[in-house]
Amino acid sequence: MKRDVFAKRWQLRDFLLPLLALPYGFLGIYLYENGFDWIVAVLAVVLLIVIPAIIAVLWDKI
Amino acid sequence: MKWLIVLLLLSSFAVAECIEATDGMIIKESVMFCSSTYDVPNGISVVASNIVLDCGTAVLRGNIDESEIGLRLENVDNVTVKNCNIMTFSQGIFLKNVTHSVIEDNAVLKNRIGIRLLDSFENLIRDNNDKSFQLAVSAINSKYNVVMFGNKNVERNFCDFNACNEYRDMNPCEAGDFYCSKRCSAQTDADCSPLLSAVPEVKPLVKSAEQIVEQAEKEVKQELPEKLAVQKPVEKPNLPLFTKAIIFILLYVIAFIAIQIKRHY
Repeated sequence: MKRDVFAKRWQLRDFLLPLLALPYGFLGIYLYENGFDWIVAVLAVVLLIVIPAIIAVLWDKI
Repeated sequence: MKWLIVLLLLSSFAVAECIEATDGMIIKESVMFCSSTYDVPNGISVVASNIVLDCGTAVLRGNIDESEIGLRLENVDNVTVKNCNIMTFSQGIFLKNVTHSVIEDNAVLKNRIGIRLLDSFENLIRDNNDKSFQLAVSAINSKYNVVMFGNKNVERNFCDFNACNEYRDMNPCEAGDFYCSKRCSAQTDADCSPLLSAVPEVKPLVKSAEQIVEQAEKEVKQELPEKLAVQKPVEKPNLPLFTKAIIFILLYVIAFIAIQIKRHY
């Protein structure tokens, strides 16, 4: 009984989706340790914001 | 025969006698350093004329960002400095009011300025190798010096009054530079005139040495790009592994909670 409730409440994707936040943590720590650099900032925005946004919008089409 | 061998051995020791360099050492007579590495953050001073300082390939090392001058020659004449390796000072070799001296076969490495001349005349700087952060040589209020490096050419404003990269015949008997060479007389150089040297009012018209140094420092900063100006080792603020782990766990938990809240509301 308990297992069924847990399975309904907690699914695998509930634990996988938060992993998407980790690259942003990597970026934050990298910028803190190496200082701000424009090329890194541009690459980070493209890799971590633009591309995921495009994937999210076009998720059903691709 | 054996006494002859002993005598030969002893004489060789006598010839090769060397001393250890010490921090803040003041040299008043000809010396030769033993070939070793010496940490001398406060540098070494030469204060006597007509002597030879042979470093014997010793390395004189300062504390980067802290040590000011490696080898200081001040108010001396006819001094020879050779076979020195001077590194990690703000100024490797500093000559102030030095004349007719020879600086040769030295290596000045990782200093801000390799060799600096101030109020120095008719010196010979040759066969030195330089790898400085800012300038190989800086000459302030100095004339008639010969400046030649083994590994590079010098092209700076002071080359108008000093011979750079090659020997050049220079006439030190120019009036108005407040320097009277041994080769000049009162007839050939007005600066040798006892009348002029006795006039105290003239001196305030000339900038003090400190002002000239400050001005030169400003010029250097303007001339050089910022990246070359100061090459201090940048300390990276590295986070400990434990802190990084905590950050990632917190980030994960926050994202987890955010997603759950979004799902339920």
